[in-house]
Formats: sequence, C-alpha cells, structure tokens
Amino acid sequence: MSKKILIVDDSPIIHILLRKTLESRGYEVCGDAKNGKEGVEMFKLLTPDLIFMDITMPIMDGIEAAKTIKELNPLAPIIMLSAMGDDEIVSQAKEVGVDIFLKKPFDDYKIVSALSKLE
Amino acid sequence: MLDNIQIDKDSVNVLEKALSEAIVKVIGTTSGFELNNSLLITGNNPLQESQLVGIMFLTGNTNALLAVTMSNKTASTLVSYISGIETTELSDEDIQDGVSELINMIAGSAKSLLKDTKFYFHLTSPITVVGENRLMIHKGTGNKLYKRFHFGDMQINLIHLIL
Amino acid sequence: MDKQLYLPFIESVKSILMQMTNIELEPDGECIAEDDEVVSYGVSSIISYSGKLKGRLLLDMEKELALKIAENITGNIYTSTNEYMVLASISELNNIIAGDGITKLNNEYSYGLRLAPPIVFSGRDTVICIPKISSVSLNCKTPYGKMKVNAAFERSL
Repeated sequence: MSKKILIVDDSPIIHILLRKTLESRGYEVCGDAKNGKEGVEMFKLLTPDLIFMDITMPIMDGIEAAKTIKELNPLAPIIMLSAMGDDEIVSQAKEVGVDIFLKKPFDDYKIVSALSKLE
Repeated sequence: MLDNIQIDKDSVNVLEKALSEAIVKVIGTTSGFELNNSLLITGNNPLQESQLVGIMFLTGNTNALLAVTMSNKTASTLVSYISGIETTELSDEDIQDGVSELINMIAGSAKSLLKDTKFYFHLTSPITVVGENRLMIHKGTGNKLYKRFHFGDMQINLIHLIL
Repeated sequence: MDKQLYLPFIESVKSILMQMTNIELEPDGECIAEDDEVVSYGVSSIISYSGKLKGRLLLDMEKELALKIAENITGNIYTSTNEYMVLASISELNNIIAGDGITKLNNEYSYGLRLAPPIVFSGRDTVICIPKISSVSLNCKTPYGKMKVNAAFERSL
C-alpha cells in the first residue's frame, strides 16, 4: 500500500508541484490543507504517514501546526518547506520537532532525498 | 514565531469599529467630508473594481492588508479638499501621493485605536495602484472586511484582509 | 541605498527564476534609484517584509513573460494573465525569491526579516505609486519579455 501524504501550504502552486512529484513516485496525496489549522484537523482525520508543512500561512502558521501535531503524535514525520531558510527559522522548526527542513524552491531530487531519509 | 490568533466575533467587531472610526475621523478632519451610510459589502471584492487603490501592508501578530479604493474622480475631489488645490491643478502624481497619504493616516489612526488589542500592528510604506480592468489576488484565507462609506454622491471602500 | 541590502534580491531573482522556470534573466543596465512611480509592464507582484528593517520587493513583468513563467512552473499553457493560476504562480515566485533574499540578509546581518504574503495584480495601464520610501530598480530582459525588479528598505520604528 502506498504511503499517504498530507500537504499543508497556502499556495496552490506548491500543492500542484508536490503532488506531481509524489504521485509519480507512487505516493498518495491524501489531503490538501491551506493553513495550519486545517492541517491539524486533516491530520487527526486522515492519519497520514507523512506531512509536508509550509511555515507562513494564515490562521495558524506552520511552526504552531507542527508543534500541535507533534504533541498529538511525536512520531508523525514532518517535512517543513519554506521560502525562508535562515538559521533562526530552521532552529525554531527543529525545536518543535520538525524532522527535515527544506528551503523552497525544491526539485524532485530534494523531495525524494528527504522522503528516503524518513523511510 | 508569531502567536496564532483565534478570530472570534468580538474580535472582528473590535477591528471593524477601530477601522471605521479611523477612516471617518481622518477623512472628516482632513477634507471636511462626513462619511456616513457605511455598509458591509458582500459579493465582489472591491479591490478588483475600483480605479484607484491605496494599500498598506500591516505587520504584527497577524499580517494584514489595509486598503481604500475609490474612483479617480473621488480621489481627485478628496485630495483637492485636503490640499486646498483645485482639482484642475492637481497632477496625477499629486492625486496618487494624496491617496498614499490618506491610507497612511487611516492606518496610523487605526493603529492607536487598536493599541491594547491583539490586532495591534506596525505600519509599512503605503502604495497606490492606479489602472483600469485590474485583477488583484492575494494569498490568505483569514478574516475579510469590506466596508463602503458614502459622502455626497461619492463612495470610498475600506478593505482589511488578514493574510 | 546600501548595496548590501538590495544585491541579495537581485541575485535571488536570477537564480530562482532559472531554478524554477529555466528562464534566464539578463540585466538591462545598472541598478538605479527609482522615482516615485512604476508604470507596470502588465503583471506586478509585491511582497513586504519586516524585522529590524522594513521594506518590500516588487516584481513587474510583461504579460507574455508571466504566462511563460506560469507555464514552466505548472506545466500547463495559459492564454490570459487574468487566470488565477497565472497570478498564483507569479505570487509564489515572488514569495520564494523574497524568501531567498531575506535568508541571505538574515544569516549575514541578523536583520530578523519575515515575509508577509504577497499580492499580485494584472491590468492595463497600471501605475504603482511608491512614495515615502527609497528604492532601487533593475530593468531586466528575458527571451519572453521584460521584467523590473524593485527593492525598497526603510528603518523600522
């Protein structure tokens, strides 16, 4: 059975790009959330095997959403995606338990490498 | 990282009240026009429809976009009353500058009114956009506030979008 | 304006545009201090950032270039810049470029800059008036059309 992935990002473009890469490699995108709050709700409902999470989003940002998800399940794998990648933000992401931090733009190779590290 | 804000009804009312007070006060004080008959707009986003938009990005616990939209004629009249210069003597640049200044003052006034609330924000530099048939999009699914004010036979729209 | 502030954005525009769209950007002249207004080529995106400094990045481009960028990012062909996915592509491009620029500034100078979500618009005869803040523009060209990159900074109060 293919792994279920939840994408949490307020950009429809990121959803398109990620879905293309993931589905071409046999992963199933089980949910598309456009902010952190939706992301947390979908996580509870869909129990994905892995989450791609943006940082800057309305209503609830990615750091807060990641922290909430990790509190619900510390083992939930989270790959954080962000246009920003300075030391401080990477550190904040790691503090809440994010497993891998990827700076946008990402190519197929970066995504596939990140997925293999978590498998 | 920024704290997250739960937008509940009371908070939206606080924000709406402050922004309404700010625009009424600023336009009243600077131009002498009394804004009245305000109504919340539903339906089309006024950002898309108007000829002239004054925009300011607000940063703080939430990021937001504050804008005023109006026709060229309304902008020209307002800036004329504010500056004391006849509309016929105002250049396009004068009018654009005037609208930038207007959004700057409205934001500044709203900022003081929201001082002890969770909507307190920092100002950034204003931008004015002029042009016909404009389509404008923004990311964000936070709270949207569209309000229309009338004065004489003119109208001005106030927009606040939580990004 | 200090070069150290705007050069990272210029570098980011070139590299990110190539990475994301395979479109080469060629400067058409030097960086110049910008007047109060920018007459849009057709499609503009503005993103603001704040921290120890405040400012915004404006990307303005001809419609054909915007359409090509959207096509190369999404894999779909578009005929109008009024289509949502075209503007969404430009918006995301600006977001990633600005993010790359502020990452360099934050790591080098600890400015603590953070982005607000961008806005993007498309229209005819659009003029963007940007008083009150000093900015620098670089006019560029690509095989698909022209682009202007405008970066502005001011001190946070």
